[in-house]
Amino acid sequence: MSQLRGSDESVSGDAACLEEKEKTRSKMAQPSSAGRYDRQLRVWGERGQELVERARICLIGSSATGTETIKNLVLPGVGAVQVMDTQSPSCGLRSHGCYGATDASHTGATHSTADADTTQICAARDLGSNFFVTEDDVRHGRPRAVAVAHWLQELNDAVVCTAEHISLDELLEKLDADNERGKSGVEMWVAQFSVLVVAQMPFSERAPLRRLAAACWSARVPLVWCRSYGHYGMVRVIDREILTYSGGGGEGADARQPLDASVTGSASPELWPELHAFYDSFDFAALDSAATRLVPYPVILSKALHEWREKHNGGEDHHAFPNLRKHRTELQQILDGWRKSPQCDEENFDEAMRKLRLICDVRPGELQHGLAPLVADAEHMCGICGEEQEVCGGSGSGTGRDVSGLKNIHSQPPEAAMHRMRSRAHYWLFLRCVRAFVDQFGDVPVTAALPDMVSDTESYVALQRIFHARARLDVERMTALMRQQQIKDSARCSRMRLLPASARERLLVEPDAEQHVAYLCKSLRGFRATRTRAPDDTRYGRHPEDSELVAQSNNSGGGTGGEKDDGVEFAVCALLFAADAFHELQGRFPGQPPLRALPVDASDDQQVAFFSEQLVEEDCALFRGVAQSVAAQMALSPQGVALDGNLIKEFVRCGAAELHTVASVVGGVAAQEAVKLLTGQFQPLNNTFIFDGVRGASASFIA
Amino acid sequence: MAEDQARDALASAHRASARALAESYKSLAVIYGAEMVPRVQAARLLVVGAGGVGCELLKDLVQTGFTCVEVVDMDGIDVSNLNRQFLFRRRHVGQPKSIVAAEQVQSMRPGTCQVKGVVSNVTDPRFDVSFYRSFTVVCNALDNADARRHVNRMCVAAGVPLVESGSTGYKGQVDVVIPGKTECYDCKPKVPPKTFAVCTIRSTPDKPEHCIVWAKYLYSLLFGPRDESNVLTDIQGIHESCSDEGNHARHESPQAYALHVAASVFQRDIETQISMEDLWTRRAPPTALDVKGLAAKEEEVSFGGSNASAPRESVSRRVDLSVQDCWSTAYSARVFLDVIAFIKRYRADKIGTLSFDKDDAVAMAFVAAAANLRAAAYGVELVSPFKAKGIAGNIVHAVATTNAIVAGLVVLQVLRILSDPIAYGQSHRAAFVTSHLTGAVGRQFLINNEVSKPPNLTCVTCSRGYAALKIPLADYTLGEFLTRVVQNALCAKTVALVLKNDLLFDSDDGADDVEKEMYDANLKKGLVELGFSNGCILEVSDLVLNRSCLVCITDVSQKEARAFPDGFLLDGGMKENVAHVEANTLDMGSSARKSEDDAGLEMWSGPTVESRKHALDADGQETEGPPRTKRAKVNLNDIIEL
Repeated sequence: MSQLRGSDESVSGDAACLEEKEKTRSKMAQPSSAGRYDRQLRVWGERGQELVERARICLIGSSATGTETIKNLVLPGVGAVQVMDTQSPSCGLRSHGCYGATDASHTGATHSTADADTTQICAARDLGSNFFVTEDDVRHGRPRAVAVAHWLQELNDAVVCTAEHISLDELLEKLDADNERGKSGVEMWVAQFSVLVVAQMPFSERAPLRRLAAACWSARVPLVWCRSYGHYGMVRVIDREILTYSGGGGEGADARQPLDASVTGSASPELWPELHAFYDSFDFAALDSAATRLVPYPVILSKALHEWREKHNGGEDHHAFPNLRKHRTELQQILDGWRKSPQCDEENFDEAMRKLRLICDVRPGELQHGLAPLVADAEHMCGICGEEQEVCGGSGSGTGRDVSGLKNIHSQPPEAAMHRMRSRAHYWLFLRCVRAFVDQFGDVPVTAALPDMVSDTESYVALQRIFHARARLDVERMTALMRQQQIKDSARCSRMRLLPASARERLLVEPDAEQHVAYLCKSLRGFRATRTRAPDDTRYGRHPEDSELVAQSNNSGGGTGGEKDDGVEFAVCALLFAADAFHELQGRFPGQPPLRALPVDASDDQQVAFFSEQLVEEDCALFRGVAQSVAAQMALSPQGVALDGNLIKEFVRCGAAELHTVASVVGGVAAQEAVKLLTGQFQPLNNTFIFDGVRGASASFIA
Repeated sequence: MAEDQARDALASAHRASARALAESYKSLAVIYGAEMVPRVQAARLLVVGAGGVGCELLKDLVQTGFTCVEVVDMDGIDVSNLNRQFLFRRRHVGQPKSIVAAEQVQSMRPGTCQVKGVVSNVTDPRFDVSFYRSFTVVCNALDNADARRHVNRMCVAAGVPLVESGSTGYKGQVDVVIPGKTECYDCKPKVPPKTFAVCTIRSTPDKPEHCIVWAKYLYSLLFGPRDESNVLTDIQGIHESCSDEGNHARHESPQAYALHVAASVFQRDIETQISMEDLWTRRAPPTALDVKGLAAKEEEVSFGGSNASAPRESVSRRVDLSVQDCWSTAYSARVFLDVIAFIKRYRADKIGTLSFDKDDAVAMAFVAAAANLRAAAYGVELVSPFKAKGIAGNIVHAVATTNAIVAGLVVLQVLRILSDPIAYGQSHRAAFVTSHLTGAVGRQFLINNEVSKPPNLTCVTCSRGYAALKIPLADYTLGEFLTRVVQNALCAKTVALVLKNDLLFDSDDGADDVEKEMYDANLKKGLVELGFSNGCILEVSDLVLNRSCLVCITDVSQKEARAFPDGFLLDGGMKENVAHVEANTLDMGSSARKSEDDAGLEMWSGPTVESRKHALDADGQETEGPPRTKRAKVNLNDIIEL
């Protein structure tokens, strides 16, 4: 087990140490990882796993919800995890050395009756919710982050788990001081992570978390905020732009890919002569009925289009398309004419009929599946740093909007930031080159994966060979285009000039990047860019898309007709934000006993007594007031959120209790979102997920 | 001094356990109300399966404050479990899951909970109805339909609530079964498993899947128990290399044996296939492979892996099954020959009993290599060993996140059952939901719910009566049993008795003389002689009153039996088959099916047995082996890995 350190080491020293450890780890852990990760490799593929293993995650808030989230990331083998907590310890704790060190000064159980806010030291209440805090940890008064990191480390020795014993306030203070001295600032600090997970921390207006979230936003570090509150849970994803490649990289990913025009490749023979030579080798007149039944459907479609053009304009116009309803009927007649024995099932013709849209609606070179707006966006992006050309100076307008606080990141980017920059750049560069590719070669790059179809083996294999050869050629062409574009951009990108020479090299598409480009080509139809709301853009629903909220929720809320009360999730969302606002005003959550009223050495009975009906009654009234103003500000739905009295009471009664099972569910969801962010696979959450444990249901919407 | 320390330590441990529990109960009390605490404290839970969901479940249960949990699992820990079954470490690989899981949970919460691990197949008869009745709620965290169905049936028979769950990849599901109140596992139609036509496997493969299924058949043909229904038994010359009749001894060296197999499968059989010209009118005929010649191009390989019994050799030559690149034909040939020789040499004692196991590196190497050679012969696309393993083992994707969510939902349902005593009462209200989890594909993350439906009237499990019977089996003949238990206690007059699909007795007039003779003979035989055993289930149908019942039998000693007034103890009774009559008149499909069965059976059995058979067929059980006709389908194993 690796040693865990306390706060005596500086933040930057830690980072250096971490990197060293990561190096030794990667040597140690390689040989047997394939067996360990077998089942997940089948979900997100080797490339996804590589990205997971490269990731560095920071958890802030080591309560049950946070710990469960990180547990689900340590198991699949992220590179490194750093656990932090949020508050300063209320009692002095001068040395809190390595885990396992026998330190006599830790034996006093002074922290066992912790008040509601001292979350830093393992307390009895952690035992009730967090599986990864033991009685021993409480007895020794260990910092909770240290204890949690220790137990998480046990789960997977390939992951470097460390604990950072510093409160968020102290950290921000220290980083600000560093920044003034010209060293790294908050942005630089967050930039070293791939994803920041924040658990059980208020997101109210003046909360220190807002500072951090803003830094993440400008450094493009995704933030996953999660919360368990009684029966309810919430996960929120904040990232300026989440770039995803595909619906999943595991096996079966190919099969899910939609068909495209190149399956028929029928429109313009001159663009793909090999394919057309193959199509021409079939002659329905000469085939017997057994053979007719085995002609692959792309051949049928291509010939049908050809025939249709012959009939319409003597085959002169290569750009005529059967786009009308009556054309469809004509095509059907052509197909039926070729059938040898309509009474026996000629499945290939049925298949062709189902795929008619490939020759009716799809033009070669037309960008499908929402690609067009992305390719248009890509026109403005720099192929070196992945930022808008306006930002990096690529358009010639100088360093434009660049934030000065980010300067250090640009000159000495941490590893995670460097990786982020590179993958963004290649993402946009590739999309930008798709336009050039279509202009030059008539269609988007072909993928080697041929869908399953009715066919004799011979024809299928021949078709497959043609597709493989073409796919290889297209990858070569694409790589060349990307390299050309980068050469153009490198002259203009100011960000690149800030980087040390070794880092500059890494941004470039290598001449032998074919495997990488092949992956991008294969994923082309899955490219998506998801832009979430900014952290400060939360509670004020001025956005036009607000009006779409209800519809969206109803769509995604699963119309299975369960016991679904429309709008409960909106109310829960509003109340969760309201609870934070309440906390900001009162210094406690609704239903929690006022801090000063509870003696430090209160017995369990006394504590329970504080959750009295009287307190609940009083807080209900208080909380309702706060909740109404928050709900009004949020304007979550056009009708306004109905704040049900029972729901408010439920919120107050639970006193912000963290139920382990709810934490487990929320931790599962949050970790899943983190994996999506890391691998760039599957559609990420945009931006709020609400779990309702009372009904076992959920909803996701933009809030 | 030392004693004082020990006492302090004990006292503090005691306080500690009280404290951890007290904290759990505090949250429970504020959220569910104070009355929940004693219910949770008193509850006894059974967790079936200590895999992906099972591990999470144990943690969640203990953390919620449950103190008495029993976990049953028959499996050992595999390396590929470690990415999600978080209670297991690398050092635990090979040890029984249930024991390790129980120990690990208890070590995190010493003294607070009693988690008992049991290494056993849950279908073992010792887990009888009274075993299930000793639990408050049963949680299924299983990986296969068979065991799920079994536990479901036992819970329905015992009247114990069941929370059923499962996960594959990013999808998951949680169901609640309240016997008699909500749908049970068998009430819902199941998707039949993927099947392939026999001739596709035997003669005309065109997908990698076909070659892999073929390779698995070859493996069991060569090394498994004799099975006449194996689709490959007609390969010329293969009988000499089959496991039966001690033929293995005839080949002097393992290498010679391997070459013999390769020649008959990839050369002679393919030549035979080529000669069947009408198969190849519109398809290129296969090419015979010279496996020996191909293999000569590659260096010999060895087989490592955790369960290989051979001496370890240099790493460079060890076969790596995790690679995602395809093996070349030559390399496949090499692996094929060497793996056969390996099995001959190091597993000779097990030949004839082996069955394919995807986690056995040697078996997997065989299947991957054989499938690739077959693919090469037929011009089918080659696949990597990684992909082959996925297909051969029917491996279902599994990730930590989904299991965590599913387990959390299960525990919320358990709490819901405990907090809602109405569920046990007369009125059923829509309190329980099925949660469907859609992780990611194509849309945003969601957990949906669906209100539980009342039991399906035609369900084979829900629609019959159940009775638990404690009886000293050795003391009874079937005749005595019939009079005292069936006719007097169950009040069934014109009855048929079925045990394990055998008709033991039928008092209907329709039987012919031969059958009557057999029934009379059976009446004189002792129950034990007829196959009754502890935990067995007897099906009793009353044809005149149209009622039926499953009697779950527990064998007791004579001494125990003396305590019962009747000499046995019966709990439960017959239930009317109203629904079956309706189902029969409506469902033409099932009556058509009936005619294919033995007419004698049809006379008495009514639809009860019919529909059960139907259910088994639908799930791909090969109890009688696939009929070897052109129309027959063969199944991939119905294994779902969690």
